[in-house]
Amino acid sequence: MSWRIKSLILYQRDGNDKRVLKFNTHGVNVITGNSQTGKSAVLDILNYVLMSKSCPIPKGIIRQAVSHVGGHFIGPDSELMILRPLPDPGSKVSTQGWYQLGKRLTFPNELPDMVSNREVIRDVLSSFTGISGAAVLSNPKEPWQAVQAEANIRHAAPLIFQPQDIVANRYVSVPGLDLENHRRHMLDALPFLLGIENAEFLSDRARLRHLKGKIRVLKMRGQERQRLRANTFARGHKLWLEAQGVGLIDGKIPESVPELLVMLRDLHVDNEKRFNIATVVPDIRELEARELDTRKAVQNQRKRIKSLLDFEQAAESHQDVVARQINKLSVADLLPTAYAGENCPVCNSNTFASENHREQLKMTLSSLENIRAVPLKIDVKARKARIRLEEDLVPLEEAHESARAKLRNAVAVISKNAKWLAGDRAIDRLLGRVAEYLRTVDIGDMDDEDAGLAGLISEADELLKKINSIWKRRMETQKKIDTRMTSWARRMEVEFKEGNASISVEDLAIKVQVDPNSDEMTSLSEIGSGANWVCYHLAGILAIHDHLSKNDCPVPRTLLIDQPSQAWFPEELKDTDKEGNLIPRRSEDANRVRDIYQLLSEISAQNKFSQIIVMDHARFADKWFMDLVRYEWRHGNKLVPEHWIL
Amino acid sequence: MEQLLDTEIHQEPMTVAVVLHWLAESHMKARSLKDGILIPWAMLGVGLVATNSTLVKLPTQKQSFTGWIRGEGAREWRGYTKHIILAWKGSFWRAFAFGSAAGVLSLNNGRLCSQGKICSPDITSSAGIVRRAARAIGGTIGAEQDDLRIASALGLEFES
Repeated sequence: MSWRIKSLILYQRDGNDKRVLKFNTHGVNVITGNSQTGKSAVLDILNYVLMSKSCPIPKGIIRQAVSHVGGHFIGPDSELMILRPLPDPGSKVSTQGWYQLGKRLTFPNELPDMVSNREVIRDVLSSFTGISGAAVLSNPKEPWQAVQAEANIRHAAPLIFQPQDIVANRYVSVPGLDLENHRRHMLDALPFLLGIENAEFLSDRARLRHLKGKIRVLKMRGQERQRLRANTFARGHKLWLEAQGVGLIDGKIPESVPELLVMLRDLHVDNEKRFNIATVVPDIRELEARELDTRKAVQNQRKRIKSLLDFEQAAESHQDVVARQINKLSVADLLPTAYAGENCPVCNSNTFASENHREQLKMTLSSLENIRAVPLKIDVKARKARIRLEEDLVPLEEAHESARAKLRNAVAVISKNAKWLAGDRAIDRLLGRVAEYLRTVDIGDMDDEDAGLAGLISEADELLKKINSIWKRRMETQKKIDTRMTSWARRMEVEFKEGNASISVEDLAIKVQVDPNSDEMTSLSEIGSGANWVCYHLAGILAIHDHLSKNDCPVPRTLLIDQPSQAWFPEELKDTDKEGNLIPRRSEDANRVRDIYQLLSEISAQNKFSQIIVMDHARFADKWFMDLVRYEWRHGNKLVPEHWIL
Repeated sequence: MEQLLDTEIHQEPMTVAVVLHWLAESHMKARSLKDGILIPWAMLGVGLVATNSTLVKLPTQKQSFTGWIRGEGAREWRGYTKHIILAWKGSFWRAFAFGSAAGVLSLNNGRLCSQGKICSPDITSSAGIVRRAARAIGGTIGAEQDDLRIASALGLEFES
């Protein structure tokens, strides 16, 4: 189901007037006229009515004088009428709108309330075109998120427009193809729009994309597991080799991680032997401590003895000093000198006999004469203490010697067992590493998930096979379109008419066979001449519409072409007569344009072919051409009436 | 007080006689046979108590002579005992003459003995301090076994 344009309408801003452009739903509709009369705006108005995201209608007279634009579209069974307000001054676009579905519809005289919005009307339009519920497209803007969108009328819109800047463009064949975002969406939907694929195929394709992503993830996980398994085995194998080296393990070399784990878990150590070695070795630290204690005791005792010896030595020195300090005292010196008179000092009697005293004194002191007193022994206690300490030192020295002997023996024993002990420590370390290995290895991480992966691969293969079946259909479609395009390009007298022409159903790229003897197809951008570009564009888009018409594809049956004569009559070289007829510089140029219009007329005369609306400066006085002209905007006639512009 | 004692002892023979009485009394008390103090030790005792610098370092109570003589205070003047004894010879004999005449001193077998009683001075007075020191010296010397040990300790050797 698809539709054609019956009419377009413009509502006067700040007024009640409206301008209706009516079109034949079949055949060619030519709008001819001078520059700046609004011809190209017709294409923009239709694009805007088809719910473009932005407002393509150029700022200026139209936006100032027109408040709303609308379209009346006729489908096989019903009609659709859409009105959309132009953006208010200062805003970029209006998202409001109004639509009506039914039969025998007419534009309302009074503007209805714009109760609907862009999204709703776009869906209605898509449904009216037969697109809805079909293509499932991925959104490349958010590749991390599986945002999916259905194909809509906007994906089909590029196929019905050939604006002035596209019809002679050597790089792109339809508008929007040079914008990556639009290109991706458009090309995603193209197979569906061309009838090569249907909704089921597109759904399968989306499913296949999903499956491929999932398969890729599973394969990566599988590779990761393989790496993990390999690393785990390598670590375990190294431990197994070490265990074998120290004699803890024996047997055949393990070949898998589970085998390794079993063997390492069964590691056997001769604990009795370890115990024997451990018990033979004396407690060296205790012996060292004991030896140290006894050594300190002996040293302290010796220090005390030494200090006493020093004291005795000092005492002897003291005695020497004392001996040298002896003073000889003469007894005679002690006797009293003679008193005067030697009488009593109190009564002066002569009874005081000092001689007697002198003799007594001499006698008494004589016992001390010439006797050297033995010096006082002041170190007796010290000597006694020293002797006692020396006696106590003997058992201490014996204890120390005993401790030293035991320590020496222990060191000898340890040296003797050093090799065994080192081996024992190595075994301990190895057992620790094995325990750590067994703890960290998670056999669950290495379980295969191949069953799930195989199922996915199988499903993906089936889907791929199913999807690949359309390859044949695509090739057939491509062939038909190319044949038709080549035929029509030759009719338009292109430069390389001996060779074939092609417009790809995959990416809408136009290619030309420059050398008929070679299979090489040359891109349009690599060949020259604006005339060639226009002709190949027209041939290509006409071929596509031919395909659309014959296969009942969900694309509107209308094609708007702006300025197809621009290659032969550039703006700066346009000359017209009083009636506006173009005066060609060369008659062959006029003939080329005339041929194009004749071809368009001929093609569109086919029963189901899309209606063609052409906006052009060209005007031919031929009757057949004048029959095609729907509007001629010269001598004041314009898209927007003069009285609207005040 | 040092000047006072020194002057007093030099000029007042009775003062020295009293000191000698205290020395002899305590010495006799310490000896089991009540022997009097040997004359040179009595001269030394007078010399020690006569000067304040030695007086303050003297023991205030009777003690072991060897312990005392090893003390720092005694060791200071140990090398000078001979000179002290000789220096106080004159004062001794003059005092002995007065003491003997007064009947408080006597010589017995060449040893100075005390006789009679002398009133004790106030214990806190300078005379009391001297008495205390003199009695300590006399008692200490008297507690020794014999005079030879004392002579040895004092670094003295007698000759005729």
